[in-house]
Amino acid sequence: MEILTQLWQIICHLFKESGFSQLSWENYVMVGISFVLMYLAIKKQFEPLLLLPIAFGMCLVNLFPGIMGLPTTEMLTESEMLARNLDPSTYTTTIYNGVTYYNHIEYGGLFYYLYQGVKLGIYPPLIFLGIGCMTDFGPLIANPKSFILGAAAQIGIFLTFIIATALGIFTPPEAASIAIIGGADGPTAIFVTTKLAPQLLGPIAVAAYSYMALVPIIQPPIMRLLTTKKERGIVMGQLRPVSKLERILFPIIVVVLVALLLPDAAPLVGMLMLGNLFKESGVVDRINKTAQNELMNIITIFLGVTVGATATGKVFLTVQTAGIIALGLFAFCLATACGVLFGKLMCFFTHGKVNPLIGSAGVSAVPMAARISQKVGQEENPGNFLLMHAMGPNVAGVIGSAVAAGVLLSVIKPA
Amino acid sequence: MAENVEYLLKLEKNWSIINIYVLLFVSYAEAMNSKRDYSQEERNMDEMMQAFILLLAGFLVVFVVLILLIVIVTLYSKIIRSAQSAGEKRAEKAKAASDEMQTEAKQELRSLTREEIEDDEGDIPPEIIAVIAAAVDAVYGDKPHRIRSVRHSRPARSAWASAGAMQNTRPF
Repeated sequence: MEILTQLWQIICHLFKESGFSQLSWENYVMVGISFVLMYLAIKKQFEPLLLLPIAFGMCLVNLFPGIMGLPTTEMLTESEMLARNLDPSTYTTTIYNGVTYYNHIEYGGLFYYLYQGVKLGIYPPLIFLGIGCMTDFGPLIANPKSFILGAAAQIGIFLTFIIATALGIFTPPEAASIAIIGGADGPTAIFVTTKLAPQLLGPIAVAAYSYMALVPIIQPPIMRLLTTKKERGIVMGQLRPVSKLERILFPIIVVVLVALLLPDAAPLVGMLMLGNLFKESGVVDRINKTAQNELMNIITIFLGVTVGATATGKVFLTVQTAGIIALGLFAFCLATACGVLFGKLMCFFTHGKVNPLIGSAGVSAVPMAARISQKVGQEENPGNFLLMHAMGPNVAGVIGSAVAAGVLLSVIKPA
Repeated sequence: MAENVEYLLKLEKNWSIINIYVLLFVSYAEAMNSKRDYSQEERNMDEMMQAFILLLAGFLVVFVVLILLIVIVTLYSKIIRSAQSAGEKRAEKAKAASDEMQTEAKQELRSLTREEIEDDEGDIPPEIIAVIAAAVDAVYGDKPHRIRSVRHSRPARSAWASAGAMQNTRPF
């Protein structure tokens, strides 16, 4: 009989420890949402490289919140230690007011330690390193005026910031983190959010990556709305070839200038340019390959999973999240619109040599936005190849969004 | 407050009226900045002002940085291109000189290959003769040379066999 009662006690204990008794309804709803995101990532292929880890991290943290648990140190007296059947001799002690306390350390969960890379701002710059290794700045060097289009699209960020603050439900740091979604740059958004509004990391990351996946759907209507048929049909001249020396000097010059002017943007822009220098120098092929492939993949896994793990029910299922999603979309549309309008301005000033459609590529969703410009331009004129011309503003947008992030970080103090 | 008044009244009498205005301004500014309880609207207005100023600052900084980048990139591209084209001009001149010598040698060769090379069995294609002539020219370069005949050498043994025999019979 003893055996049976003990068995029953163990079963009760297991049930008490199980998730069923410790979770609330919000956790279950979040698990459902994570299933939806997984469906979008796998079936609809919405940026699966990031959305799938995010969705799974979200699922895991809501099933077992302890996976993101913080490490704790409890100070226990000798009697409490004995009550818990712990051996005092193996513990370090702290003496306070003459009483000896034993430090009982509980280690944090798995994702807690992996999350430190996000919290300390390590992963996003490393992703930028990989992106730099994959980026070709040739079209930008050949036509430096594209930098302006990269800057113009970032105006959307600042306008969204104003509107987010005006709504009154977000504090300035939170509004800045939401506004940076308009930069269409995942790592930048995560970098800024972890520094300014870490409590909103989950919803902002999900919104940012979802909108990046939706670029082909969001951009074309805005582009068609703001340009005339004639403007869309403009064929741009050939880009001049760019020599190797120019390509090598470009990252060095950019990083020196931007890091001196905006030190807060230095981690992002610095790593981007380092990656590009790896690629252009041609003498560090092994590092180049690793940064593009293995490093990117590792960091993407860790970043995605831990960012998803910040999306607990209490943070995600609020009115604020709906506001974030709406404002994120708004930021995106504004950025596209500003880019196209500036493209029109450039078209006017160059007497019709610049096709305004490349302006929308100033949002830094490389290379999707450039491909969209190409597609819309080809609808108008099948022989029009805007892709290389649009790559200029596209990569300028990456630099531009990092600069905008630097501005936001330096001006807004975290709450 | 009192110290400000004293300090300002110590200045010259001509400036007294301006002093009073300055005094008023200073007291107003101090009142604005002093730690009193802002109501919710004032806080919002303050935030809005901050946001607007940030917007302008943001525009300005992003544009200035990127325009600076444009200027610098255009400049250094121009410098590199002009340096490279100067280098190219020099290379072109050297190439032109060597080209001249090459065309002379080629003309000689052409005249040779046409009739004066004896072709023993007549089954060597003219392309092979041209290749042999070019190889000889590459070796002899500028020294005057002339190919008189080209013969197909047929060894009694294949090359591999003779090499194997040589290896086996070479003294230790």
